[in-house]
Amino acid sequence: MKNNIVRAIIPLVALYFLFTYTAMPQGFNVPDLDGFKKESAYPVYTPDDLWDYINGGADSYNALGFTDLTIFEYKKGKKNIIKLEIYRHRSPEMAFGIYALERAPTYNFIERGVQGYSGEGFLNFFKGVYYIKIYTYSKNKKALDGVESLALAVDKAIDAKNMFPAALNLFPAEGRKINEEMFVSENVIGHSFLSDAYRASYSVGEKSFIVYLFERENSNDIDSMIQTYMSRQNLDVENQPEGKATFEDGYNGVIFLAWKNNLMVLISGLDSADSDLAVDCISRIIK
Amino acid sequence: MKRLDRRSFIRTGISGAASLAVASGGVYAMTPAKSGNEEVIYRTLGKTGLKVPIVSMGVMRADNPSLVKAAMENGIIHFDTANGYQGGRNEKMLGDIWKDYPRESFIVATKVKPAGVERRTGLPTEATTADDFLKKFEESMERLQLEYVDILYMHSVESKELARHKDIVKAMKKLKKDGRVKFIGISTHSNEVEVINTMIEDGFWDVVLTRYNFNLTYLEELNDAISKANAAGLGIVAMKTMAGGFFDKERTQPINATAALKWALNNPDIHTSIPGMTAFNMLDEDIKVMKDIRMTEQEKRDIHIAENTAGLFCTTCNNCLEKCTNELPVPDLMRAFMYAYGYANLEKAQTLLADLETGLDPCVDCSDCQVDCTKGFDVRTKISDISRLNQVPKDFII
Repeated sequence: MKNNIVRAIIPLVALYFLFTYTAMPQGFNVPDLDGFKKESAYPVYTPDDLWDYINGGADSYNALGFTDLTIFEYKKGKKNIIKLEIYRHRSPEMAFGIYALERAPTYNFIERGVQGYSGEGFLNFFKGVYYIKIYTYSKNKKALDGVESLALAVDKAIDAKNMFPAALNLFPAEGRKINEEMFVSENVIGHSFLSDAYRASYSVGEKSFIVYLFERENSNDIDSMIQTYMSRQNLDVENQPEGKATFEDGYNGVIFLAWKNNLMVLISGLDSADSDLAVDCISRIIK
Repeated sequence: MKRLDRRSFIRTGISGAASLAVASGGVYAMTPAKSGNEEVIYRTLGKTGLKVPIVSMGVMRADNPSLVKAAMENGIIHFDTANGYQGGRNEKMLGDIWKDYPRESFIVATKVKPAGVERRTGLPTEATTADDFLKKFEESMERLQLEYVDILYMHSVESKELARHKDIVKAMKKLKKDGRVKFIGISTHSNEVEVINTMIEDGFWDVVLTRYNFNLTYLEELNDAISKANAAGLGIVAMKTMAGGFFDKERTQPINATAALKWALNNPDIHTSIPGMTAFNMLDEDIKVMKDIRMTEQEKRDIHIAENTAGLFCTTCNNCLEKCTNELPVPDLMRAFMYAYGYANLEKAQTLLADLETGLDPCVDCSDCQVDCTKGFDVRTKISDISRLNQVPKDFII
């Protein structure tokens, strides 16, 4: 019997330590809400079955490092139900990515978590590795107020700093379209070899363009991407000693590319004649 | 017309798509391509009469106008978006592109998801209103900058109750009558059979956009419904043909997308498909499929492997419940297994097991397991494995 217990424990405990980062259901204490009864009648959704809950949207979540979804309902009577959805992602950058994917610059932004937006009966925000969605279909004032109270309580319960990914600070402020920054995990400008980039949209004078920022832990990863991109364009990296290149990408038109150490900047949407604008933007990012 | 089941599609692939086209009784027409050396395969989208290439573009995750333009230059004419995609930026991107194209050169389908639908049941609530639906539709029209859309779907319908929501259906019919939309339809991601059969019964719908891939456990029923829908004149658009795209949640083992797409299109009742495209190499591959749906030997093998890769996820078809002689809650036990081995959430798995009260080895008295899992799970082994967790002291887990 004792041997059986040991046999049972060893692999499971090993499994536990191997995956300790996911072992807590939510990772923080999910708060109660005064006057409402908290229930969790849903399974924890994982990348394997997120589809069952949000259908086709699951693809975007999974592409952005979705880890799990935990759902709570807060009930006051039969009709006043507030739903709390806690989407956990692999990193704060990924959580920002999914949040940013679903926000639009026209939304009513609020200071909740790092940033949030709200409307009648719903409030979404992100903080740390979490993307939080709270909503009710009830028109009852207590339920509507409860959405905001719950958001505040969840915000306080999450132990993470209220800050956007640091890389976003590298984008120049001049001309940048507010609340249109994104994190693109796959197929940047449609190329499968370009991944994990921050994206900002710019409007300067009559020119509109997109700036992508790739930040890696070391220069090797950047060099590898550059090599691949250059070879696809039949360009030789050795001929670009200053870490800059401008070329006609067969698919995307003129591309301005610059790289240094662990950073790479890519600008699309400008013509060759706009090189001053591109160079100025790049020089503000790569010092 | 003879109904084709999943195996038949694979076999059909062996003998070639061309013969299938003939055997299908002229369901689709072959029309000379506008571009490229080979012929693009066109099919008619049911009673809409629209002739569309078998490959259309799912724009949902695309954020690059150049990709959409490249698709148009390569003969894709039908684009699928939705009110909710990318906070509306998806429709806006398309609207900005199409300002430079003649209206008749593309077919646009957009979708509006009714508000307030209960996610687990798919049932409408008091918050499901035509006003909200129409408000979102007007948003879409503003973003698309068009006078009309070709197809408007009621999005993400999982119940006949929602498919028959009187006010929303009435509003959609009026939009069609007023010429704001040419055709109306429904998109459905689950409980597709019931939804499609409801659409057939109701008769006024033009198009259904349905999940369709080799990995569905109820494929026979879905094929049956699709076949009837085709016979009833519904246009049939397939989505999610890639069945999730990856074998693993780390997204390191991709499913052969081309094979999966060809597999779906080898069903002649499917008029077109909307594979999601976010990269130029995806577009290149899909363009090839648009002209040739014959499966290579490797593609057949890849689909065969994918079909037989059960993964960890129990689809809760509940067929096992009747077969288990011990009357065990097999789907719940499979869920506990997934929590532990797929998700490494031992606490959740142990809590679930405790609730189930199935004991240390619930299969011990059973000499021959009668459960024939539709996903191919070795149910008995999995139950024995996961039940060991009941022996682990809670302190080791929490």
